[in-house]
Amino acid sequence: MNYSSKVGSAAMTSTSNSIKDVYVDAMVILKIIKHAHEETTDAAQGGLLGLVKDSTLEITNCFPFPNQNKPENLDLDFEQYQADIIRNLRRVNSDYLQVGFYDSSFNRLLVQSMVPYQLSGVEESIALVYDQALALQGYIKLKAYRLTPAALENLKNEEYFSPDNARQANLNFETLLEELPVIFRNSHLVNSLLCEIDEQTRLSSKSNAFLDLGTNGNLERQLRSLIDGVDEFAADALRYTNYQKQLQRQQSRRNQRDSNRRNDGYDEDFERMTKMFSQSRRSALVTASQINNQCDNITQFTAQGLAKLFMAQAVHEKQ
Amino acid sequence: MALTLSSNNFEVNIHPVALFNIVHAYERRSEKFDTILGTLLGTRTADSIEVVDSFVVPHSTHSDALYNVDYASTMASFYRKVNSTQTTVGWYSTGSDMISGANLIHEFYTHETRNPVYILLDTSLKNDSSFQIKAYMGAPFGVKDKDKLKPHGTIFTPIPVRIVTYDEEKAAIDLFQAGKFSKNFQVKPPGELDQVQVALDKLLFMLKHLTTYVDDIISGKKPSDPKIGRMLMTLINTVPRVDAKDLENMVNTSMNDLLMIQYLSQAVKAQLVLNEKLTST
Repeated sequence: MNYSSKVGSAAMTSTSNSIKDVYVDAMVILKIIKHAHEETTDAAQGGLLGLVKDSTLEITNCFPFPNQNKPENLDLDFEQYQADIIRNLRRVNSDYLQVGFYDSSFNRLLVQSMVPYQLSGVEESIALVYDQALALQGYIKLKAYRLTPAALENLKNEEYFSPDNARQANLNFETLLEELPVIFRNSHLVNSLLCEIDEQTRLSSKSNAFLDLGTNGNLERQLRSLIDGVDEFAADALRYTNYQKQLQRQQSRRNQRDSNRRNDGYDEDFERMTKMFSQSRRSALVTASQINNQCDNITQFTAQGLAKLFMAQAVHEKQ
Repeated sequence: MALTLSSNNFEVNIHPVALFNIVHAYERRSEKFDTILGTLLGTRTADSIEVVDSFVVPHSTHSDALYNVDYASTMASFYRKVNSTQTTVGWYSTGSDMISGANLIHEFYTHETRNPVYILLDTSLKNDSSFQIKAYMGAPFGVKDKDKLKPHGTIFTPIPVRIVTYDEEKAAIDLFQAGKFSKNFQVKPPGELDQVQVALDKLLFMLKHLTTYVDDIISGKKPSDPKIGRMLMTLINTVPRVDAKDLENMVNTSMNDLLMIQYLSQAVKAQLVLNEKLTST
């Protein structure tokens, strides 16, 4: 999926990454939930609009991206769509600064896509990740991620990636993304609307589905995506060892012919090899951060499951 | 004059998203407007309309409400690109009473869809300070014009409105309810164990309520109600009776599964760190 943000900000605040919190409007979450609910085949993705204020980022509106894999949308001009929607929203006084995007799944494309957002548009852009399957059970999980400055520096250029630079900047999969706390905040009018909704829908509460002990479906799904990530990572690791072998072979060949020939002839192969190597290192880094995130998710989920089981056991022991 | 209503039991189901959208747009209206207008999107069946989303349409305050038709149709097409089942089902306005010129706008919407619904959301909180959501269906009304066959005006008849939610929406709204009375009106999404605690608290609260009620009946403070008694019986009978040993087996196997997966994911993480060390030298 190709995200791109051509709509930049007029006046960019030059505070570099001094955002501490992300305030999200209730409406934005509900719109994301609705989009994720309707989008059954792929992940639900969209853009976030808002503004930067002091040390917080406020998200006040969002719009969904149409699914580009659907046949009727194949010839959709993506940037045009984005520009049109933002222009229309601007006419009704909505905020038009695109401060990031949301996604209902976390994968390595997400990290890749963050780069153009943080470079071209607002520096404080974030990616908001929302888990749809968990929400069905009644648990709203929302996380905001941002690339660290070191990561941005090194991942800037898609073609060129230098593993040495990355190592010097202490960039490993853990320091690739940083998570920001998400806070929901509503205006007073919205709060009174909430009171009204509360009165009307109090009895239709299904929040007790959360205590359901049947966690296997969710677990299977998470494990499956973890396996995919690990496969990808293993492929990169294999490429690494191949590179090492090739490098050794190259060195020994070079040493043999050094006395007879100039070095120019071999530089081509060497260039190609190092380029493939650095690309594989880059994707390994990004995949590693994806796996890390998924492992964290699984750990959290199993912790919940264990807590519920302990509770169930305690209740039955009394009999 | 003929009063034609399409069906008698029409009702409108509205999702909170649409309402929040309206309030959001209302808060951002420019100063010269008192009310805002917009389109409602959703799906319709034979006897109900489900309003899933809404967006505001700019209009001007000349004597005839000039409505920006182009804007309405382009926005509607954008929404349709995302979800092709969403169509225009009606329109809304804010304020404590219907706006003047409502029939003209309603006529515009009858061109877009059959039988549009007109929803009035009272954002000024005038009527006993509550958000009143009223829905109306229009029907042609009035003396027929000599040349044209259509009558002049429209009569709006009220139809019932209900708020419906998806499960996830309900979960999110419950979360926001907690933020209503908190300091700074803020609420954070809960961590995983906090969520378990919150759900448990709710369950305990409900159980306590039930037990105090039953105690009151036994001690004679309240009259007994056979209907509630029957419901309580069904409730108690739905708790499955499992042999203690079987239960322990089930719980243990589930726990083992979860622990194993947790261990595996930690092992994967350790592998990542190891790989990092190996490949960066």
